Amino acid sequence: MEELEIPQPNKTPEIPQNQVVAGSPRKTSPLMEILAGVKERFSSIFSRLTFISPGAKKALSIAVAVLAVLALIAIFVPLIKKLLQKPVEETQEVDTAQLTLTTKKLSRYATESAVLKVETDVQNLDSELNALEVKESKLNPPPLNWDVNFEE
Amino acid sequence: MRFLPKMLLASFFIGLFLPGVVFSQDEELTYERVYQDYTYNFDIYRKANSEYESFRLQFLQYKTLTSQENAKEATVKMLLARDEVVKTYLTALRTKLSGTDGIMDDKRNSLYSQIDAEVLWFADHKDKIPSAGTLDDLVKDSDEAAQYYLEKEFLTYDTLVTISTGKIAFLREKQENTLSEIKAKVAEIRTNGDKDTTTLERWTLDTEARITRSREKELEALELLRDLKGKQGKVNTSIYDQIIFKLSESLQYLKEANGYLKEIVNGIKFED
Repeated sequence: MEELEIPQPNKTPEIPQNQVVAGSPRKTSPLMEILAGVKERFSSIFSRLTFISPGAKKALSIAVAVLAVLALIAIFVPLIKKLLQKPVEETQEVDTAQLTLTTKKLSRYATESAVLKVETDVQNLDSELNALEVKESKLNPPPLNWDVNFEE
Repeated sequence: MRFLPKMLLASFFIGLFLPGVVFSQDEELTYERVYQDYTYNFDIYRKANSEYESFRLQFLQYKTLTSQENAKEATVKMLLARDEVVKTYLTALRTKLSGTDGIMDDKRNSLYSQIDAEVLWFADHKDKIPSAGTLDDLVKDSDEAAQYYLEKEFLTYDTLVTISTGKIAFLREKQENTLSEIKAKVAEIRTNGDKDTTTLERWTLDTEARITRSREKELEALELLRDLKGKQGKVNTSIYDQIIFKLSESLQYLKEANGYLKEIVNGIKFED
């Protein structure tokens, strides 16, 4: 009996050593490239700082990284917030005094004729006071020539 | 003969009230019409004065009989126009005074009689001018009017201050009446006991204080009136400006008091 070869679906094909496998090249994102560059630069700077112990160097690099992240957050978060924010609708100015009054409940005196009369009197008086001109500018004494003479 | 005492008595009263009769006709005229009359006459005067200045210079330059005659004619014309301006100005001032409330009767009548006397003086003076024979006579006529006008200048400013004071006093009186009504209503509410009136009562006191300050400012203004007449009877116009400033302050206090009254009325109209 021939032995049947049972296919093993999960088994990955073995690649012989030194064999070049054709396929799409691994792509690195530009951000990763920037980060790698920064990391490389930092490591070159740190390597020059021989007087700092490796433990301190590690702590320093973490602190720098945290600061950088915080700075980025500080820049981008308000920007994103602003972009996401809906334009604020212009609210009409409301006379707060009037608002307070209108939200208050009318007293039983509000409709009394005496109170209404007094209210009208006060309003009329207001108009009269605002229209009053203290100085009678039109009646300033006329500028007249009182110096009549025929002397040189 | 038996009617003679009655006739004398009647003529005495007619004479006594003659200036009043003369002006009762004017009082019927509106202030606007009288004011227009004054501005119209002032325009005539300005032209006459300009001509007088021109012919005066010609006379001083050429000294000819023609230039003298021209100067005389121009001077007569100017003096007549000047007297007419004073008359119409005083009439406008009087009409304004009669149309202004808030003035004490004594003060009003005193000013009326003084203004009437001045108007009559200038009317008489105006009648005299054409009879002047020479330029010297005209100069004398002019000097006479100038001196009289200077003596009476204070009257003009006194009347202006009285008008301004009266206008403010009239509105203050109205405001005091309104405040009294409000105080009565607040007292009624307090008796009813259905609303807390403590704040409203305090506000009425604040309003009263503002009205009192207004009155004080008016008194300060009237005290300055004494200093208005400077040396040699000439009016110190800077004092007049100070008086007007004090009266403006007085008015400002009334405006503030009225703002308070509005708040009190709202306090009455609405629940606590």
